[in-house]
Formats: sequence, structure tokens, C-alpha cells
Amino acid sequence: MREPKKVDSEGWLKALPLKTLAWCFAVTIPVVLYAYLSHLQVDRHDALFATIVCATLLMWVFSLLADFIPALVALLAMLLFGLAPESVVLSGFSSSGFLLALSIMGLGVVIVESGLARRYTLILLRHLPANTFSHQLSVFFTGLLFTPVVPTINGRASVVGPVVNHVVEDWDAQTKSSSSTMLYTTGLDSIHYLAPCFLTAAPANLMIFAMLPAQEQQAYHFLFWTFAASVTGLCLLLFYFLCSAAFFHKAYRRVEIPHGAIEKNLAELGPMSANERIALGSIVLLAVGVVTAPLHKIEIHFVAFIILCLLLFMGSMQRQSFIAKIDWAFLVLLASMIGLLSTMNYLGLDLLISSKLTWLGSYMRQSFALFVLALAGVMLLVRLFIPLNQAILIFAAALIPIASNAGIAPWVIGFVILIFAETAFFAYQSPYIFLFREITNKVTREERKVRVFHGMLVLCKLLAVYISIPFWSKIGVL
Amino acid sequence: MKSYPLYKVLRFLFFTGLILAAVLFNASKPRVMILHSYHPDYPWTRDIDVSIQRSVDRWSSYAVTWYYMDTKKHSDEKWLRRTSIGARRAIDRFEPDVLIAVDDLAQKFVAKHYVDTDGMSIVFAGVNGQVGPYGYEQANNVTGIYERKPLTAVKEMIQNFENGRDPAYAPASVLYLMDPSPSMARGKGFFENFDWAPLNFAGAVVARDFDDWKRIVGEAKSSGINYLLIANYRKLPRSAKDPVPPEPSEVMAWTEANSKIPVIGLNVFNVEDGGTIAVGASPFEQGAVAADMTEKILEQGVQANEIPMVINRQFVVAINKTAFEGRYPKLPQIYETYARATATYIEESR
Repeated sequence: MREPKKVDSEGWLKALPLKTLAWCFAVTIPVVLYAYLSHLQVDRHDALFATIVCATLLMWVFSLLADFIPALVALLAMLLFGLAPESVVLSGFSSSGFLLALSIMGLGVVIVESGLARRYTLILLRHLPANTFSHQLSVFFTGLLFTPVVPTINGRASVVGPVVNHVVEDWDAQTKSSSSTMLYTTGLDSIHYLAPCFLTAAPANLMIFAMLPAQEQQAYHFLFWTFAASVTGLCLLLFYFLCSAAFFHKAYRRVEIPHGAIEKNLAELGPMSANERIALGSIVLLAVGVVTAPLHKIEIHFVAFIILCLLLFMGSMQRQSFIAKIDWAFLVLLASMIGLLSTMNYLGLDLLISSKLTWLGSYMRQSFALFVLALAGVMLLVRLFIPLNQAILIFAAALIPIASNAGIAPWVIGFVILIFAETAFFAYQSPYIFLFREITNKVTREERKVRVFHGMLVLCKLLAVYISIPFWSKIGVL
Repeated sequence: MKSYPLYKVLRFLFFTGLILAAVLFNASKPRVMILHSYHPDYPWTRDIDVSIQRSVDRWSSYAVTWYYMDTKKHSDEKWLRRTSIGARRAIDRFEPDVLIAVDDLAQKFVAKHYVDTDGMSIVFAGVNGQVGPYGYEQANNVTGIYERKPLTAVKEMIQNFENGRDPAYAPASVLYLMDPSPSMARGKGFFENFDWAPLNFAGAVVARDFDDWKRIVGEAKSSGINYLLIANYRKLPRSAKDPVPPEPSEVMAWTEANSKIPVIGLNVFNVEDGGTIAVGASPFEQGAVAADMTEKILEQGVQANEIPMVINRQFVVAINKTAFEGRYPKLPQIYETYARATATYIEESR
């Protein structure tokens, strides 16, 4: 589940002179900012916090280091300068968001490693009707099926990528030439397009969850998150296949499937292993635990943690996998961000920012539709320069407190940020595209067509959000 | 049939036993939800939480959660609907054995829907008006504590200010100035019906906005008023054209700087906002009594309606030393001592 290799800690700024220049900015701008704030007689703690955040943001924006390192250094600085008690600065490590992220990541590792995903793929291929539309549906729904339980897009890429490969491999030359771009695009979209609709589908979702106020976190656990996102999700799904039908209409055709190879691969796998059974059992247990929460009264993040402990306790996840396969860098980033926000709240800066930006809060309330449009535009633009997680972090940290203060459900803002932040036209914008390309490197595709199709999806996303507004009002979310 | 090593079976049984025990423990432990009408930073709410937290620290075997409806900052119809739905959803999900509902709006929009609900008791606090409209009087699962402004203590304070004044003059006249919020309106009758003698109660007036507030404060002395009572100003629009309320500190700073007569706050937080002196109902008593009632229901198995509803008895005095000295008439030493004892005596200058 870790980033496979060199998926971009360098970012778009690779040339050495530019990088040196960026480091010069990262060193000097915070110092100048601190001097300026001191000159304005801003409270020392507030000035130090602003300086630390400024340095962190610069390192993120210029992609000078892997994203978790500046966040961790920010924690260190806040501790050393005594900006808040240790319990506040380090609160991210004991938060429900951290525990949930760790647990779901552990479950994701076991699902992928046990071979359960591979068996599912083969069974799917064996039963597929012989036409490209059914193949497209199967690939898309494979990605969708693993979306709530494999919490990283890279993890799902390693499940869906081979399915795309297997399907295309078995196509005749004519079908390959006319339909492989469509299937590649569908495979790629299946792993991220509906990710905002499930709390546990992506690290960024857990990050947004962790930034929500405590009572919003209680409300938006698993089921209610999905329920609140359901209309958007259904619209996205419908629009996706409509757009696909219009854009890739020449790609739909009948094909012949060689069932012999599939049967052989299934036979090689043999009966289900104990680890596969435990992985499957864990998914069922998680689902049962979530649905029966009103009966057992155990918080959902504890349910997930129970499953992680069960997997470790029963030996389904070995020490080595626990160390190597869980994305500890992301977990550290998540905990650091929660600590950063807790420190900001401790210093009262969230209220200060909200009071200075009341106009934005009023704008959110009075013209939510226009705000969504503006946010989408800014997000798409910013994502050309800033990596996925950093963009989400910056926008969420700025907008969630303002929304909360303005009487807008912070979840809605976080959800809209997630929807538009996940839009990528170029591989450098999202590391999972590199990985998916790598896994499906034998599948031919026209990148230009993929980009145009993703451009159409932006409009679908906007439309889906607008259609959801009355639903959100109806269920008391907005 | 495939056999599993015994140690694996034991390992599984150990873990399953642990989880089952945890499930049983969680499912059976008492659950308490504290539902606030306002937001956690609102001083009144914050101080109620402080006193409830003292009990929560002892309730290690209870599951406790809070919900804040945030109706002080937002009170439009849309928000009230949204926050009520959110609160009810949180209650339905948490299924508390006891719901502590604080202040009027929590009762009006949420708690009243759980009257006579099996397995749930309601303990109200901070209710200014009557509980009849919520159906609490006939309910078998409700008790709680009212919040009445400590007008007797206010009257005594004014009498202390007046001590030494020539009795030949007309009795001191008191005006109650309110913002246009519903909670203020609910308490108006209580002020009008109170026995103010030997003082003269000049009435309760509502300021439409901050401009109107300034006019009333500015004209008070020339209208024969000797003391101005104020409780809240958080719902005071800035002007007829600008509905956004000014910061509480701005209202208090203006009022203190421009009032020609003493201004007495009726909430302790008036002094935090920049006022000089205040006598307010004790939020600590509200929280402590509600927590005690909760404990009685959960630990002694007493039915909520068997615990009598009570009216608050305690008040808190807050004084800003720098603003007070020299500007206001002297008070007996006991006021300062009491304010110091409750950590509401502010010594630094504003």
C-alpha cells in the first residue's frame, strides 16, 4: 500500500536552480514574516505559529520534501517553542481519525496481500458477458467495490490495474484498438472517481474527517457520510456512464473471451486460504460492526481498531507487513495536521481567522451555489501546481473553520473540496496515475482522449453537487 | 476435516472473549448526553460545562457526549431546523439514558420530542421561562433546574450603592435594557413582576439595534434613571441596515464609556466582555444540580419526575477592580471577597 517507487516527492519543481531558489524562499520568507509580525506587535505565540505554518506551506507548495516531513518538523517546532501543551500538539496521534486510518489501512493490506482481490478478479472474468460494456461495468464496479475497504487509491490501483490488463490481454486486435482507451480510463476512474463518497476510501477523506469538529465527526461516521454523499454519488455514476457512452461510443462491441486461461489461473489458486477467509471475514465483521453500532454501542473507529487487532492477533498480518505495508508517512502527516489544527484552535487563531473572514462565511451561506463554482475553479487551478493532499489540507484548514462559524456544515465544504481536488488531467497531479500507468503499461491508450473525458467529468461533478443541494437541505446537512 | 492447532483456537477464543466482554460492558454502561443550546465558547455554556465536567470526571463508567446547537451565533429559521435535525439525529444514534438539555432552545426544538420516551430521562437546565409549553409538567421522565436572574441580589446590591443617600430624594430608578432576542423577551415578565420596592423599576426596554441601544444609554440619566441593568447584547444588530451584531466587547466598551449612570450586568460574562460589575445566576450551580440529578437517576434508579424541579439559588458576583474603583459607589467588602473566591474579580486594567 506504500507508494510504489519515485511517485513524486520531487513534484513539478525538479530543476536544481529552481529548487535552490525555492529553498531560499522557504528559508527567508518565514523569517521576514516573523520580523514583520513582531514589528506589528502581534502576540509572540501567534507570530511563531504563523511563521511555522508559512514555512510548512512553502515546503509543500514547492514540493521540497516528502509531504509528511514539513508537517512533522512543524510539530517539533511547536513543541520546542511551547506554543501549546504536548497533549494539544500531539493530539493527532490519539485522535479517532488516526485510529480509524491506521485500522482501515491494516485491513486494506490484508485484503490485497491475502490474494482475495486476485481471486475475485478471476471469478469476475469467468462470469463476464462477452462485450466491452460488461467489461467496462465490471472494471468500474471492481474499483467501486474495493473503494470503502481499501483506503488508498494506490492500493486500489494494484487491484484494478491487473483486471484491466487481463481483460485487454484477452481482446482481439480490433477491440484493443477501438476500446482499450475506454477501459483504461474506466479503470483509472474506478479507483478515485467515487472516493469522496466513502469515508474510508482515501487518506484525504480521513484527513477531512479528522478536521471536522467533534460533533460532526460523531455524525459523519461511515454510514451517514455515505448517506449524505449518496445523491452526489448516484448522479456521478449516472453521468459517468452517459458521458462514457457519448464519448467512447465506438468502443462498445462484442468480444470473444478465452475461458481456458482463467480456469487455469483459478485452479492454480486452489481453495481459499485461511488469510483470504480472515480478510473476507474482516470485511463482513466491519460491515456488521458498522450496521449494529446502535446495539453494541462501540464507536466505529474502535470497531475498525478491533479488526486490526484481530488481524494482528490471529497472525493474518505479520510484523513485516505491519511495518512495511502500512503508509506510516501518511499517518504521521495526518496526526501532524490534526496537531497543527488543534494548536491553532488552542491559540484562538481559528476564531481570529473566522472573524476576519466573516464576509466569506456570509458568502458561503447566501450564495452557496456560486461559492461551489468559485471553489471548483480555484481548486482546479491550484491543483495544477499543488499536490493532492497538500491542496486538500490547505483548503480544508482555511475553509472548514469559516464554514463552521458561518453555520454551514463543515462536512459539505470538505466533501466539495474532495470532489474537485480529486480531478487530475496530468500524471504529475496525482501519484496514483503514475502507478496505474505503470501497472497497465501494456494497455494502449490515447492520453489526449483521457484528458478530454476528464474535462467532461468536471462538469458532471459540478452538476452532481448542485443536484445534491436540495437533498442536503432536506436531510439537515445544509 | 482440517484441524486447527489448539493454540490458534485458544488465541481466537481469548480475543473473542475480550471483545464480547467489551461489547457487553459498552452496551450496558449508562449513557449521558449533554445538549447545549449555544456554542462551547459562549461563557455561560463554558461555565456550565466546567461544573458538569467535575461530575463527568467521576463518571468513569458512563459514556458521556456533548452536542452544541450553536443557536447564539446563528438563529435564523434554516439554522434552527438544521441544528435541531442534527441534535435529534445525534440523540437517536447515541440513545442516552439521560439527556441533559441546557437553555430554552434545546428544550423547544429537541428535548420536548423525547417526553415520556421509554428508557430516556430528561434533565433540563438554564430554562428562563416555564416548562409547560414543552410538556414537562405532566411528563414522567423530566426534572431539572430553572434559571432565574438573581434579582433579589441585584436589588440588595443597588441598595448597598444607595446606602447613605438622602431618603428625602425619590427612590433610585432602575431600567432593564435588552437586545431583541427571544430569550430576553421570555424573561421580561419575571422582571416586571418582581418586587423592586423600595426601588423604582422604570421598565424593560428592547433596543432594536446598536444605534438604538446607544440612544437609550445616552438618554437614560436625563430620563431620571439611576441604574441600568443589562444581560445580553449578542443578538443586537449593528444598525437598521446592518444585521451583523457588533462584538460583545465593542458593545460593553461603548456602554461603559458613555453611560452616565452605573451599569450592572446580569450575567457574569458581562464583566469578561468589558463591563464593570455583574451579578448573575451561577452557571456552576446549573451544571452541578443537573449532574447531581443525573447521578440520582442513574445510580439510585429514581424516576426523573420523582425528583422535584428546582429554581436556582446561587449567584456569582464579578467585578473589574480598575473600572469599579472611583467610578462606582462603594460596596461592602464582602462583595470583593466573594468575587475573589469565585475567581471573578478582575484586577488588570482594560
